[in-house]
Amino acid sequence: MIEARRISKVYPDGTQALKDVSFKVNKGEICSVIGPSGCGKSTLLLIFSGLLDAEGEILINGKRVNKPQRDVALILQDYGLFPWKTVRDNIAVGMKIQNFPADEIEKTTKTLIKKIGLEGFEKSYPKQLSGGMRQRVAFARALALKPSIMLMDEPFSSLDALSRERLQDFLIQIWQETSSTIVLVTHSIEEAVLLGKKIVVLTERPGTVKRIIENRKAGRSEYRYEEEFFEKCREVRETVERVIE
Amino acid sequence: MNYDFRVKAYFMAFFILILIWFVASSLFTSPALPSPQIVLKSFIYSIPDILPHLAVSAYRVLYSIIIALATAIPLGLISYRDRIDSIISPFIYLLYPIPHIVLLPLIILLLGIGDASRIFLISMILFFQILVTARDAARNVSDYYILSLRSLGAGEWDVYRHVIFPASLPKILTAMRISIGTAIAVLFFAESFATNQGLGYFILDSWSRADYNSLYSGIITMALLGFSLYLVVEILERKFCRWV
Repeated sequence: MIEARRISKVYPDGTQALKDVSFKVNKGEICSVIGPSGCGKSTLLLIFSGLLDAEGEILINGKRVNKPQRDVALILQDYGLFPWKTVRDNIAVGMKIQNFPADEIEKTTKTLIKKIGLEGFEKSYPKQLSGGMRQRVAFARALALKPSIMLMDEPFSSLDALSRERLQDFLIQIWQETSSTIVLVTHSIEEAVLLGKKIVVLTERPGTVKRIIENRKAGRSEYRYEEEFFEKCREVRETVERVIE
Repeated sequence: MNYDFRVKAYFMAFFILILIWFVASSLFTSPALPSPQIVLKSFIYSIPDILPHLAVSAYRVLYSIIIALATAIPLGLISYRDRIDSIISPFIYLLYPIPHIVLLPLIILLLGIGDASRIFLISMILFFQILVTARDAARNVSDYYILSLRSLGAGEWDVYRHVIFPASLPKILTAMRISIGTAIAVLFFAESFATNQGLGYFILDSWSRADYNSLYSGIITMALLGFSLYLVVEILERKFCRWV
């Protein structure tokens, strides 16, 4: 469970990114965070991950966070892969840092590469992969540490429509298998609705919570084709547009 | 570009240079510009004489390079932190523009006329070249990668090992490549006084004896020394910077 209590963030240069942001994400739930660009969505994730100080409190499973947690994986925008590491080493780096035994690293890496369908690309570098493949490597790296919470910053924003849908389905599959808690920042209304059981709409900078929309049916690939999905999208769109005015 | 073609291009360039030399030597007909075949012959004959000098020179230059790398790289890389950079930078900016080679008399006064002075001089010059590059490279590493690594629970040492060092390595290798030219040039200078060993001495000695064949043999050996060091850097680059 993640709880944000009155989070505010002012950067040293004086820009206020967030103001009094409070919301709660239940265990095993996907929560989408949506808002206009520059509303502090990414800042919010950095604060959740313990990499950035802020006013207010972040509670993860009831405990206050002020440094990166082993249990929390962060996937940055543009995947956060290291261009100087091969696919294999990119996936293994988290386990290496956490001093996992070598044979366990080997085993987990192999399993994950198989899971993301990148067998044969172990020794490739990120620049040799397509955007969708890179995204899957980023997922694998995060999954390697078996986190109970995953934070994702616009994970699919630079993918073409087809890869995007495929990876959304992949994410749903991961979520169903691991039942992890996921906070997903996005600027796509459809994505927010498809994935988030809870949709947090932020205002323009400084970001504050405009509205929290419940979206019970989310987290299934078929949802895309259902009438309710389109209705939800409209509801979210209206809320977001009101935000921008 | 395929590999075969590149190898061919290297041989081609080599033969063109030899050809230019050949033409020049037949135009000038001066003993100071002997033809390639004469130089090749005398080079082969003088190998036994040159080898000890080559060994001494190689020892001096390698030692200097290793000392320079071992000090400049860590110091440059830790400058990625603003606090440390604000301390180190002023020193770099005050000391780097000084032509270090003019410090030779002082170095000899302090360290004597042995190898220590020569190695100190070469490594000091390389130190600054590599330090400036390593520092700039480390400071240009995007925070994005550091955040990405820290989110995996990385400590300070992990940041150097997995991000700062590998990200800076291509630029450090480029600096090394440039430094090798400098190192050989300074080596020549450092072997031009108070020694009777080393290729620099061999060249100057041949010159003073007007023994042009030996002179050329010395020059070729020095060039080959530089060339082989250059190849080593090239190999390191192929091995560790395939991702670039």
